[in-house]
Amino acid sequence: MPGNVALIGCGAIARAFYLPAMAKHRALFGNIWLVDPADRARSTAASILPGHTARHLKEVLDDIDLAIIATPNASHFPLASEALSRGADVLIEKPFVIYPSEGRRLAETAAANSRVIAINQTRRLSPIARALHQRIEAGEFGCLTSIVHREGAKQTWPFESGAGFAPSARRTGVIMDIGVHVIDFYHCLLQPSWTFVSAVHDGFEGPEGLAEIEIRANGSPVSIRLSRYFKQENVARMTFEHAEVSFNVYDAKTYSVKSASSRTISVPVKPVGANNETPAEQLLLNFLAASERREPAFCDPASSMPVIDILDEIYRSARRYPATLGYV
Amino acid sequence: MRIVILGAGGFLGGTVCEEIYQRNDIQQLACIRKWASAVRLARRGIEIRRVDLEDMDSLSPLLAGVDAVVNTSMPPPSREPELVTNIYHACNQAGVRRFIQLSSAAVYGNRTGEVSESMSPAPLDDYGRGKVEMERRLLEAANRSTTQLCILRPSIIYGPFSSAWTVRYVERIVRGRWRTLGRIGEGTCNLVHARDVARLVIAAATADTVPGPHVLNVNGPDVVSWNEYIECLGDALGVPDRVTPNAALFCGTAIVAEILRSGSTSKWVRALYRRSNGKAKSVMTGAQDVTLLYPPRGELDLLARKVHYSTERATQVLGLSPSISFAEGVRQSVKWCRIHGIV
Repeated sequence: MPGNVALIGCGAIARAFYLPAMAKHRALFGNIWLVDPADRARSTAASILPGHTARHLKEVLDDIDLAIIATPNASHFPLASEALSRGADVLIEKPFVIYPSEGRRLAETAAANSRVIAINQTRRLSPIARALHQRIEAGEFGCLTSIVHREGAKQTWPFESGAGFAPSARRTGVIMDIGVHVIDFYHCLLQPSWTFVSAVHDGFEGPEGLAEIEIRANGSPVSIRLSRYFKQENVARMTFEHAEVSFNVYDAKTYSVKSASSRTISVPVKPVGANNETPAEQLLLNFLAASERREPAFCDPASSMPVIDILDEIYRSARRYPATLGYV
Repeated sequence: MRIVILGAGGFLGGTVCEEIYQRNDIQQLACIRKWASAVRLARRGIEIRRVDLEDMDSLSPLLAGVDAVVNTSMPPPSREPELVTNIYHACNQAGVRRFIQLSSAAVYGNRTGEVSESMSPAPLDDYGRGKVEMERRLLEAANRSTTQLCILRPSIIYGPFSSAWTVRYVERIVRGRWRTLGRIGEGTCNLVHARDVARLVIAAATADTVPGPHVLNVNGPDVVSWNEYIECLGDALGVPDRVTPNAALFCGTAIVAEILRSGSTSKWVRALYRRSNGKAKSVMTGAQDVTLLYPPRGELDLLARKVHYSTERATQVLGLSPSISFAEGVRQSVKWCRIHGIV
């Protein structure tokens, strides 16, 4: 019998990602609860996917089997804890927590209650991640020697809530927003041990919009620049012993492999997912399968914790740019 | 003192907020249209509110107890006169002491020589006409209101976060390897640093001024040509092997760029770009490069126009003059571009 589901948070990510996929696979769910404190967000969500509505999770009257948490970062931990304690399996938007201690506690709670936690790290689902993972794992390129990643554009995401921009907001800037995708992507590809080298950002008294990060993956240097202000080079460049692999981070339909002989080959990547499923559908179907113990979640706390750990170290150790006006 | 800044998510609004943030004697509320534009303000911990300026019911409650309102928002030219007048009326009703409205030197159109505020406007395009009509309506309303009006007409605002006059020119110089633009760029550049404009905005909100409405030009301290601006930026960026393009060829390509620009707004071209791969995409990307590098007609006229906007009146009324030199402004701009990964 299909389980009841609560979509907690009906803002921009819910509208763009979860709701269309849930609507398409409506038959896989029992009662649907749309949970958000904002009236407008709830009514917009209900226009895409009719369901019961509630302002808060505690107002959801049914037993819930599945909870999808698509709220501002800081609320992931308390809401996931609440949903797990109500016996639900939980799918959490990235970053699944903002502090490592929260992640470990969630994992313990899930294990104690025999519940599943899945995490939406979308880039793991990308065709390029799968294509490169296979070739790297097969040792085609040799060992990693360095990574350069430049990513950014003017922020245009249609945030419903300003929670991430409030003076009290913690870890809602570009490092937690985009950086978590970037580091998770390389983590998924390489499974390295991460070490912190240095970082600098412009979060003087609030969330940062610009960051430069130097870390190491199994000892190899990784240089990351992230911006929410201006278009960057938007390139991912991984140098291995025998080849340099690069691709455009916003248009990853192909990647280039430059061999030691300086010959460059452009390799198209094939879409993944049966029946042309969107990433949201793939994620949702995987979450349902994980909930029914038919397959493991694409991303779970165990595979995400090393990323949360290095992000935590980046935030704790990062310098700020000099705050001089006119320069930053 | 409490100031509300409207349009704070934009380039100039953000600079005004950051300048106020440095001061301990002013409380500010930064109003933005959408949260995506809050990034620059949020990093400083500035108080931000999302406000729909078309909805006076959402704006009016924010005006209680406010001393001054600064409007840097940029509605479409056709909408701006009515919208801004409505905002001004709301300020007057709420007892706001002063209203500072950003206009533009574009109201003077193609006037040349030394231009002061006493000269009548002669706008060339919709943008300029919208500003002139907005000013006219505001001045008319100000004669029947207690909220003092100050209209500022800045010229070319450059510096950090200036997409139009810093980022775009840096990109053009790097990609086009411009040394100067020869006779195309012999006009006066009228650069004023964004922080100088912000300081004048704050002075307009706080200074003791003679009663009545004011209309003030805002321009930088140094008079330079566009060629000097381009050359100094190029030198500071360290772009090698720069050349001055052939004027006839440049103007001819600018016409092609104009055609490409108007074509790029059509739905089918956009759809083609989205769907295209390989060669088609590289052709489209090449077309984008051309439209970036070659200015539209109005901008070419601007580059050649020999005009200087006098700021004497602003100095007299506000007791403050723009002070960031051209050399310092260019130095800051280039350092900022490097930090932000633009070059």
